[in-house]
Amino acid sequence: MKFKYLIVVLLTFSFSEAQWLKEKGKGYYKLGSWSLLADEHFTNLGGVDPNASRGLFISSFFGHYGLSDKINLIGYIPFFVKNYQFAQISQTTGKEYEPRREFNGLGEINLAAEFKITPLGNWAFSGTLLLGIPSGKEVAGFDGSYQTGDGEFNQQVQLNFGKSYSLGKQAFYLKSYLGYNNRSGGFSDELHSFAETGTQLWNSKLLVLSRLHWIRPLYNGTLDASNANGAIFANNIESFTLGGEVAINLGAHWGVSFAAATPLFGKVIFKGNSYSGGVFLNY
Amino acid sequence: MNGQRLELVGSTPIDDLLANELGTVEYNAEVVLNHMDRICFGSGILFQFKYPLKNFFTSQRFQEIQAQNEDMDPEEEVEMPPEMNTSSSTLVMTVTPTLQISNGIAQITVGTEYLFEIQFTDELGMETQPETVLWESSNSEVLSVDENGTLTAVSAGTASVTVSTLVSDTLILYTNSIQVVNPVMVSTVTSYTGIVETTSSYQLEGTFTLAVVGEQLILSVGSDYKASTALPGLYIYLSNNNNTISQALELGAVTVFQGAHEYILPSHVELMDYQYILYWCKPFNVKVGHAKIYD
Repeated sequence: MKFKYLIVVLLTFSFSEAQWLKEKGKGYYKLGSWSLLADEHFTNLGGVDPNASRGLFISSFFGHYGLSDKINLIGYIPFFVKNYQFAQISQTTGKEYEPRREFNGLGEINLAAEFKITPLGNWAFSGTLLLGIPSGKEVAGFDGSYQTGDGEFNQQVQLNFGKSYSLGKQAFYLKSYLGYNNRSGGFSDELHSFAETGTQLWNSKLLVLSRLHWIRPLYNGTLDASNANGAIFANNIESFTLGGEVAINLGAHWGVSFAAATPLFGKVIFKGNSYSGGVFLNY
Repeated sequence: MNGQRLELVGSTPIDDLLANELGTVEYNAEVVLNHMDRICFGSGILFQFKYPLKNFFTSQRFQEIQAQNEDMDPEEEVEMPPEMNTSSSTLVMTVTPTLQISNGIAQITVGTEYLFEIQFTDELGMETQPETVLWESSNSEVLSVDENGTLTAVSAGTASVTVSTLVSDTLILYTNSIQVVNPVMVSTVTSYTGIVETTSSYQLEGTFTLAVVGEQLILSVGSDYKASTALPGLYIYLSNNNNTISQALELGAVTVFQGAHEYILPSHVELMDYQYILYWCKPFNVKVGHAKIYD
């Protein structure tokens, strides 16, 4: 589902900023917002169709804490989610025939634990178990389609791996993962592929990175267009997204970040750029 | 009272004398009125007879005569004038007979018939039937009327029907002007059929029938119907605007994606209440497909 997709994207963004496993007692925390507005979407065949201008705005808290050197706890709490649609104006008469709609609520909380795995050569490995808590509303708004969650409890396991490398004298990092998202409630399971590379500039004051994220459904779910909640991207979504981010350290332990992403390909998902920003604390 | 016959019967000696001597008397009475040559029926007036045989009529006697005449009001007090007016005029105690169509019409449809009824009042003010009436149409190609007053609308146009009768050599008539119109062609439609087609990239096709079945209005989707199962939140609506579901009637979420199925519409919906069927994706708020029910 779209919302799940968004959460995964947000988590991966945050993971990248957190960098690897945290040492015991260390943490990374971020207060941020994310916004997406789209007036077209990818169809089930990968084409592009128009739709009413709809948007999603999320304010969230992300925390990554080193319970030990080998086990980290991760939490993502979207404490404010606004699902909205612009007013619809007739091009013939110029009159508004449908007012602006919106629904505000709590999104779906993700809780995860990351475990260190023995390195292999110069590759670092870890495993993550992520639980998607159905804390949002799968039926909301005047027609039920302004949901803030999908109402399903999902479990995602992923293998994270990364390494450092250099291009000339500039050091870079590469981190990636392969994940399997087991979804309940009739939703199809998903495969996640993720890769991110970045480098630090200006005496480590500036982090610049880019990432690719591919979500593929396994089409083993039972939900279709008749699902009761009328949820958007209720099932079998697919997306291949390119994103970039800039994080600036403004102090010894804190800074701000800005990110953007655009879908390169997708199925049954909004085709629109997303933008995010936040303040992070890293110690 | 000019020319009326009076039978003199009475109980007084004079009356007896008159009766014995004259029996039934036919006379021409002249009545003298002051600046009046016509009197409404039933009204009382002051007058005196010039009786051709006897001139000794008293006021009392005249009242008795008056009581015998149904044309006069027996309650009316009659007084003898102080003097005989020799400049007399003839009293005419009549009402104007009237004839009219009591159920006249202004418009009639070609091919239909209509029976007129008449109302006739004679010169005595009595509602009765005239001895004979004549029905005529001003244009028999538009309207015809028979001797009984039965009207037949022949073709579109305007014509008048006149009914007339003859009373005391006076022709009395009444005319009714009528517009003849062509019948409105009304056919009773009980169903519409059409084609459902996609307006998006999603598969949606098939035929439908919207029909009144008994007391129910049923939207039947044909066996050739196919719809994509990939689109979330697909709903079906009836609308009068092909581009929006605002003011539309939601029939519910689409739960059948292939083959024949039906929607039984709410009882307050009638066949021609809505012009379009819309298939709408709620989450994207976009039309997926449509069908025109009628033009």
